[in-house]
Amino acid sequence: MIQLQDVSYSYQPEEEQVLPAVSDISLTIEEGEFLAVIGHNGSGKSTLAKLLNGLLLPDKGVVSVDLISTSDQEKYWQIRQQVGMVFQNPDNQLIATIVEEDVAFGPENLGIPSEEIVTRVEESLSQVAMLEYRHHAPHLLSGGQKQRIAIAGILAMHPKYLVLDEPTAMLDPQGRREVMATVTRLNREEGMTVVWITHHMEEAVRAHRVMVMDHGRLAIQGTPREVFKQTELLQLLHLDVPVITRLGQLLAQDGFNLPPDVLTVEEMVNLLCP
Amino acid sequence: MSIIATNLTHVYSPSTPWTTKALDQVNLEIKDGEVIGLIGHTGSGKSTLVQHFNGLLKPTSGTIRVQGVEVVKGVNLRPLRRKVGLVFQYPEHQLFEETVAIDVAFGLKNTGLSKEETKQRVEKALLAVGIEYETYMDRSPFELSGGQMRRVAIAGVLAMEPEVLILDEPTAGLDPQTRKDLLEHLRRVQKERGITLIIVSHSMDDIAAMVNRIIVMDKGKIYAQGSPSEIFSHGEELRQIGLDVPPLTQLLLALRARGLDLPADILNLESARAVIGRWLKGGKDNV
Ligand SMILES: Nc1ncnc2c1ncn2[C@@H]1O[C@H](COP(=O)(O)OP(=O)(O)OP(=O)(O)O)[C@@H](O)[C@H]1O
Ligand SMILES: [Mg+2]
Repeated sequence: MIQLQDVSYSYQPEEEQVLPAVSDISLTIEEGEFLAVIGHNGSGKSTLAKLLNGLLLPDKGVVSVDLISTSDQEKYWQIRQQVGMVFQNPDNQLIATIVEEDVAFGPENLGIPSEEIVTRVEESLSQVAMLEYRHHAPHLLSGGQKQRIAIAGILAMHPKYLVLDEPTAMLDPQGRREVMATVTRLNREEGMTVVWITHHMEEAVRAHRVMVMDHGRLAIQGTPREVFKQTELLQLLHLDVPVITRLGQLLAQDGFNLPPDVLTVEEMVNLLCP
Repeated sequence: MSIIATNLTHVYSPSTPWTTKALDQVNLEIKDGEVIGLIGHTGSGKSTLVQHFNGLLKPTSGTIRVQGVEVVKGVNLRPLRRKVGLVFQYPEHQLFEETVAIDVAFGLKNTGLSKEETKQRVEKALLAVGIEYETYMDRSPFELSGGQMRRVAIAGVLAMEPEVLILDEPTAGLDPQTRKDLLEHLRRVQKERGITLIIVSHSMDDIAAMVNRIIVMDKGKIYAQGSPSEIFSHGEELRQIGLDVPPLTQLLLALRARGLDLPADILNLESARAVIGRWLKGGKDNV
């Protein structure tokens, strides 16, 4: 469990007219949960992500991972290993010239013995369905494949929590499907706790819980159905609802009997044509 | 004037073990004032193609003419770069000045614009991407969120008011409202000034909403071209080459697959609302 208690963080603490990037956030991320985080540009999502694994330390309040505070310097590496991070641009995250060396990089840094590393590399490449590419050069892979390798590199450190900051923003539709399917499977089948930051409302639909940020604060949270019913509020916060949800709401306005929280194409097809 | 590619081929790192043919005999014409959507999986050659349009890359073989200028070694490309604005896929790599205001004004240096005119252009461009001039002008572009950086980089190219505007993944990383506002702004500028607009995007939604003609690339070649409704009626083929159709098209295709007689070429919310509404009201019993 990751806990935030009244957490604030400011990049320019001396300048009082600049709002803190993260303001008074309290939040508990449960084990096995899939939490989606959405919010306007500059609302504090990436800052929040970096607070979760101690890359940034709160100015106020406490962030704790399994009850250990991220500000506890002696536990710094333990927390970095427990909370793995994946970023937007896969090219910036791959270092080695061979896939399996890249995946081995994290566990090597943790000082894991080499036989164990071999096992972990195999395991984590299988988890993202990329084992057959172990001897390939990462720069020749597609965007989605690169991003799965980056995820494998994190998995090889055996984290409990996976934090992904707009992991699909630069991917083509196929890459996006691959990465979403991979992470959803890790969550549903292997119980991995996932924090997924995105600007794509369609992606947030698969989460157990959606949290909406606004100017550093937590504005709304709830299940995808609870959150995406609130179209007007979301639009005020510079966001939107999935286009299928919106279609359902418009048809309801026209007098047809459709709920305001239809989330996916399949659901809509089944409602219209049971 | 126009952009004309003839047998355009580009090979990266020729005669090395990691050589790749990124463009393979591409033939293409883009006329003045067209709005083009360029789609294709990662590595299909889209970014390589558009980098030829302002002379950042030169052909390995074949030719490319842009606004009357042939892009070859030795030609002075500075005038071309002024006419053809390109926002990169990772626009944050395009940022380098000390403050947001100076950065956005960068391309306006030596254009003969007065200080006042420059400021107006910068303000207008920042407004178009939803960045408030007064709040951000003195901030360092490197101390911004990812989406904010992207917006500043886009503003830098908008401020130059180019004749041909090329945006490589302009909406990646933008929040939904900013994305909508930016696309609307582009549409307006395109109408008012009749510029050529080329949008490279993985977002089928953006493409569907914006363009007159879609060019689909696959493995360095042009795979298909046509209007959005023509292209997106081929859902299965698009999926096979790593692409997709917009969610509303998906819905209509799925309903048709259940035997409903609905059109497949629905690209926006209002038309989806209309055809489904009509079917729910009356047609439903007749199907
Ligand atoms: N390195 C930095 N130095 C100073 N301020 C920063 C820095 N990085 C971000 N900020 C500011 O902190 C606030 C929150 O930024 P953050 O990157 O967390 O937002 P975000 O929600 O991830 O946005 P985006 O959707 O654009 O990625 C913004 O106001 C931003 O301008
Ligand atoms: Mg961010």
